[in-house]
Amino acid sequence: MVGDDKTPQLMQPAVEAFRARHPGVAVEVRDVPWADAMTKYSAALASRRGPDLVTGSTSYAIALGTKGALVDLREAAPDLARELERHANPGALRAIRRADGRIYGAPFDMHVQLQYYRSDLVAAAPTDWNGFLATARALRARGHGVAQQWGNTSWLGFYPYLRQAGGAVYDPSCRRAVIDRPEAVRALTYYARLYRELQAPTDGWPDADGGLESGAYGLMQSGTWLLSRMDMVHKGLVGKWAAAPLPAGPTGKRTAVLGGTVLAITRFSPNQKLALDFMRTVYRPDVTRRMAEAALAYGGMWLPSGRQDQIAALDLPHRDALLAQLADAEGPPPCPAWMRQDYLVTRAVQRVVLAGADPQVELGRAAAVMNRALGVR
Amino acid sequence: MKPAALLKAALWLLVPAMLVPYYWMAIAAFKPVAELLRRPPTLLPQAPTSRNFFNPDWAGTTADPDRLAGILQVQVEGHGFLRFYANSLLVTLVVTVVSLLAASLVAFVLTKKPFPGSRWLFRALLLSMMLPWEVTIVPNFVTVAQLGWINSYAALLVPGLAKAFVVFYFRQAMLGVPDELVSAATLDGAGTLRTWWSVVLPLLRPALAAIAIPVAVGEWNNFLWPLLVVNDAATLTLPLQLGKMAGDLSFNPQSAAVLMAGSLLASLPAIVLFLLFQRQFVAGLQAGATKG
Amino acid sequence: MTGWRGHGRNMLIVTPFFALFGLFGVWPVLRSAWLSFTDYHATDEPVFIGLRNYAELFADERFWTALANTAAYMGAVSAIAVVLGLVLALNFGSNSRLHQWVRVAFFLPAVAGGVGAISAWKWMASSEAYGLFNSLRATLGLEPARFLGDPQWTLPVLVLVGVWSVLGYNLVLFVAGLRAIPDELYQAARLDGASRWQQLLHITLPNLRPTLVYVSVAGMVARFQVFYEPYLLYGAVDTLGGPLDSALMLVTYLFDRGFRQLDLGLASAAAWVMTALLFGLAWLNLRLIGKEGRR
Repeated sequence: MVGDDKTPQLMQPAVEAFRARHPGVAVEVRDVPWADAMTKYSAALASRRGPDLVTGSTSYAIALGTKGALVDLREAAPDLARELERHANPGALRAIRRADGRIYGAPFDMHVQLQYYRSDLVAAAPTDWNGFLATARALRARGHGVAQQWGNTSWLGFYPYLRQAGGAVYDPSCRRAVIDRPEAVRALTYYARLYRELQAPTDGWPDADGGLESGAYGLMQSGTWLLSRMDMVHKGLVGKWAAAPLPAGPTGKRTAVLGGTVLAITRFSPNQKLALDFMRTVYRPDVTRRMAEAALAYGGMWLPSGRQDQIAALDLPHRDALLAQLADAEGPPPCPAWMRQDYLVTRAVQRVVLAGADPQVELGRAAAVMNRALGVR
Repeated sequence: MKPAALLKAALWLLVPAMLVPYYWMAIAAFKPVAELLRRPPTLLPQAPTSRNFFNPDWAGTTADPDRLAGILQVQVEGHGFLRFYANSLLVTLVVTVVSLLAASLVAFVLTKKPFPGSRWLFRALLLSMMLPWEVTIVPNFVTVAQLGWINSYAALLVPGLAKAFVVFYFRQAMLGVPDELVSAATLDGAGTLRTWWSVVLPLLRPALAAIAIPVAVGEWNNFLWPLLVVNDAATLTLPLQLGKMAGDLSFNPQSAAVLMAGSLLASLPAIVLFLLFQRQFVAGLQAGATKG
Repeated sequence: MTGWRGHGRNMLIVTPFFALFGLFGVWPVLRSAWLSFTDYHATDEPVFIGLRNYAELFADERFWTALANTAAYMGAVSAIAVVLGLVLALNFGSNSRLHQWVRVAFFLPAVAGGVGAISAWKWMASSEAYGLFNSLRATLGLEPARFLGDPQWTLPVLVLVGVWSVLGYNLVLFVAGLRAIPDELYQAARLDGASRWQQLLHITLPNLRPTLVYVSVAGMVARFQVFYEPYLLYGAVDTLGGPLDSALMLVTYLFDRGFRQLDLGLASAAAWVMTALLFGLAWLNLRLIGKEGRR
């Protein structure tokens, strides 16, 4: 599973519930750092030996599934597929479902981008793009900056703005890149102001929460995982911070990126029936809730994207902000070419933000390369 | 001679500058997390602690920076730091000893007891030394994966046992072994192996000691190959674990304290050994160099 | 005078070594050459596609970026490390205890480098105000710089860590080379009234040529293949190149394409292109430094 050393603890309730029904079966949970997951899984596939179940990013699951390395859940466990249709986060499900209806993995967990701010410095979170600029300028006048943490200066940080402005990377058929349209240019021009005008840090992952505590930043963007750990990790922030959904763009939408993993079964697994049963166990409402609570206990967060109905029952600070944002969140473009082409958008963003290039020119360039690869014209 | 004096002063300044990373590593290892993240940082730990090594408040997985596991307590799938240390030690020792013995034996046979075709074998070794390791890494990865050796000690040990450049190094050393001694041993009835073991190896002791050091240092620090072939904690080596933690550093600056503690523990033996055996180290690395 | 039985036994003795050498040293070379002409992603069988990998490689902007970065990095580190190494050897080359300890300080990274040391550098270069570099900037009244997040800082940071890693090594080799120059040459020159500069130019440097050649060539070859520093300092979940791919080097590019994107065919092609470049580099070096001055 992708994760860190805390992941096995998260899986404990599922393992226990599963073993109650299958007492003779041993279950082993191993975590893999995100960066190496691809390599590790591929080594396993190449040697036809390895885990029965894996978690990974949606795009990776799609890539593996199309190669035939993962089990199609709709075919192997239609009951589970139906449960997912009913209870999973629609954005997450849409991302993993293929055009022909095949589902290579079940949405496992998710995170979404949120605004975080110092409640003692900012009266209320900005609700639209102009409000954001006004709030940020006021903060800067008092010596506090703004920062973006999750996806900073990459496509992931830019993507919400793109969608909020009504733009998209590809057209609905996934056959053509439309990232050079006026809406996208508008979004990138706005995004660039964060850095050029508001001097936001340009690192790939600034210490935004630490900066929030020290006052270096008064307003920042990060992911939902901070909700459960903020008080634990930054004792100086207790009672002084709040979270809110992202500010809305010109279209009125406040779309945020939904990142997450899916749980999938490998086709070379000799224990597919058991694996499917394990999956069913994970998605039982009581097990799901216990897993989420196990994560919260150590300051982690596991938002079950397969059973969104359980989130409302969790004890989280600023839960309403989370639920509000979840209602307007999307995964990355569900097009097969995206996994190979995302770096082009990141490069365009970085050229504009880090090297001062012109958004129209850079997005045009990116679109040209993408379309050439897609075989357009 | 003003400019010369300035130059000399600048050069002297370089000396402590070289040691700064180790100093920074050492003080970070002894700072509590709260002090570690203070802006501006303290140059000496104001509240030195050993918590980054062993935290008595650690009670299991948590994000609370006061209750993080110390480096000696960190558990990955039930295995701790000492295990990774032991793995690194095992791989380093086994590969160094075996590859040196094997290479010296091969060099001995090819040089002193050549058989038809040995020159071609030697040329093959030479040719392989001209090619960079990058051309072998993809197929070796696939080979190891297909052999089912992923996560096994075999993957860490076996590919590194046949080292061409060590054979070449010993060949040079072998030229200094008098042929008479070899033939005398043969006349006494000693076979190749016996001659190698009793006559040649003792003569090669300084050369062995010299080349052992760059080989050992290389194996101890080896990161790329283990990164590809090891996922399980059971066979994880020290550089891998530190690499994982270094990757976390951007996302989690609080982890710097434990990471620096781990880095210190990883570097310390090499530093101590080096300080004790400076001359051998220097000779060794020169040996690895000039014969290359 | 070894009979055939003796030959046979000796051949048997070296067989295990050469079996391993064949499996992990020779076979991969052939296989990667073959794979470079195939489309291979580890999960299926390789499919022959001719020169397409090479074409794709040369058409990939990131490859050229990696090449440019590697060349700049290699050139900068080698130039600085050779000159500085020589200057240090001239000044700290004696046998006194003091100088020995000075050399120890420079040589330490060669011994205790690796992941631990690079992690320390990563921590020192933190973009936040608690990083050592930024706190130095603060004392100078400067704003914190994003050392690991700003493409303009990438090369300076990598070159700094690179020079730090190899300087001791060069120093030691130069000291050995200097010691090999017979003192009589210097004595004769002093009798002739040569200044220290002249001694340096006409005795030291020419006699040091073999060492210079070796240090330069070996150094450049090693820096060409740099991996650990860019990977550990700039590697991230989605990219190995750092901001705007400013830290992308040839080997991290190969690693990214081959082991993250699983395009093993292209990675093999990249490895062979690197080999060709290395040959060219070594040849160029030998021509420039080796043959020069043969009067």
